Amino acid sequence: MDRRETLKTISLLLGYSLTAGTATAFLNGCKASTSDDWKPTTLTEEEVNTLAEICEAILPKTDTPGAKDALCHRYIDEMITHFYTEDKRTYFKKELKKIRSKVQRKIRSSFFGPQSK
Amino acid sequence: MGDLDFEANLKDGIAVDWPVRYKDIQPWYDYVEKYIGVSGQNEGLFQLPDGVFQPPFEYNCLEKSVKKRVKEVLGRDIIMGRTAHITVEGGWKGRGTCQTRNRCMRGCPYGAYFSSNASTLPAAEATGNMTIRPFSIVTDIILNDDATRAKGVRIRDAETLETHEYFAKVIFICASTFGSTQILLNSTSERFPDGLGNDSGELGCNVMDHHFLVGAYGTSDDFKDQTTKGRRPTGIYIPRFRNIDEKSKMPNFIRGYGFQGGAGRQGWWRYIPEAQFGTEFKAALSQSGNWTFGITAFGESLPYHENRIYINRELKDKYDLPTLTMDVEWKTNEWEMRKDMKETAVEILEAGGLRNVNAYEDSSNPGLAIHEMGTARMGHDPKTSVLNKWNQIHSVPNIFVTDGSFMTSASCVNPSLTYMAFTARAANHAVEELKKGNL
Repeated sequence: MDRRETLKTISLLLGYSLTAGTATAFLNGCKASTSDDWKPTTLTEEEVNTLAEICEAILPKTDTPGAKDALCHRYIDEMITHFYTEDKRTYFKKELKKIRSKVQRKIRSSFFGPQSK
Repeated sequence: MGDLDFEANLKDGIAVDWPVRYKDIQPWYDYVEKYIGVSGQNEGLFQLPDGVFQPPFEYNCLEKSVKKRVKEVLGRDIIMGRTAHITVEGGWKGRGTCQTRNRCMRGCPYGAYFSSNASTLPAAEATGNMTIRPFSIVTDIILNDDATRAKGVRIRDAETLETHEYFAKVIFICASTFGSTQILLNSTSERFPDGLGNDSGELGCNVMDHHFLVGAYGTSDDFKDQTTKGRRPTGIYIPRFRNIDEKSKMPNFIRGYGFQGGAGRQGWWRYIPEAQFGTEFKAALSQSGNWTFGITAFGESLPYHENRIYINRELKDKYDLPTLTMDVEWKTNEWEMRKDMKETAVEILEAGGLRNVNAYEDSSNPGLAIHEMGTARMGHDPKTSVLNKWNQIHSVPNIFVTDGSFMTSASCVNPSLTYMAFTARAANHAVEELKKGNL
């Protein structure tokens, strides 16, 4: 199964039902904290900032709020903390690291660019 | 369930005959439907009897169109799903009406979707006679000296692991199909070395479940200017049309199946396989996608003696209690039926005017439909069944078993309403027998 096929299957599932893990998350009222002094639980600050940039690239701020405004990165940290197994969490962090170093190699700069530091 | 189901084993000459016919249980279906609130439409179908219904939910535009075409082309009925949701206010003792949020799985805060929390437990509490003893794992049933009557139950406290005993004149075991059967299998004595009430050797055998996860889906280019309203907590239903009369007899399998399904417009998830991002993507997400229509079959399985669950005394759980092993497989009748389900799903959607119709089939292992049943079946003869027609253990009549374990055959419809109807009937019978001094 290639990536597109895999994603198709996931979208079919989403269309008709929730996966057990996601359903549990909903049932337990999993939601992102809006507090100013929020700290990630599973991810490091650096990892969660990377994640926030990826989310924002997918759903940018336009005339409506974007993914950062919606605190998607906080929600994801919450999800992987409470509903992922240890090996899945490790995998998630590993992939995140891969994306970051790939981008850094490509733009020959830090992930967030010089202006953000 | 109707007489198509209650007469099925007798007519097919398999397993044992149901000791009950539709006329016996029909008033109890009515009783339960009135009590819990079921929405639906009376259709006058022999294979799916009418009931006492609240007004049904509504079809959307594509469902209406497909329903009409399928009736015209194939002569098959598409009806609105019947579901335990209150649709009209009044007389429900604190329960409200369905707000079409389809968040039933979270527990309905309006009490509109039937649950024991919203309906039967408050009613039981109001009698002043209810005591709930939580954290109790029933280990076995305590019998009197000559093993003709039950005296009580023995439990292990899940928190303290202490053993406690409780005594009663009548005992209802309703711990879910496998749970109830496990208690009986675990209750061994000199009189019942193979499990309580197991003179027939059928206790734990004849496991049935529905086989499903086979169906089809298609799209429509019509009704681009319309969408769905609310989140209806049910879908459409296509009642069984195979083996219901001489004309519909199938050469390769007995019994039949129904389809559950529905139509809707695709949401944001249609973009997942596209793996897009950015401004345009975000704008596209807020638009409705194509109309799609999907159906999934739910098929009857047959009671095979060798499909069974049994106690494993070597493997203990964390409470030091024996565990249950399940050894069940689908056989030729189920596999042949699945082929037909798949072909027919496509045939129905194409007849309904849908495009891009695709069949799908996923593996549907026994137990996946969570409609397990049949492990303490009822029957006329104590030599071949565990329970009598009133859900009493033949040889220990003050024990009633009233969950899915009593099912003599599986039918292809969702079973909860039938369990509840038989439970209400059994409870009424227990009261009558107590009054007569027979228990």
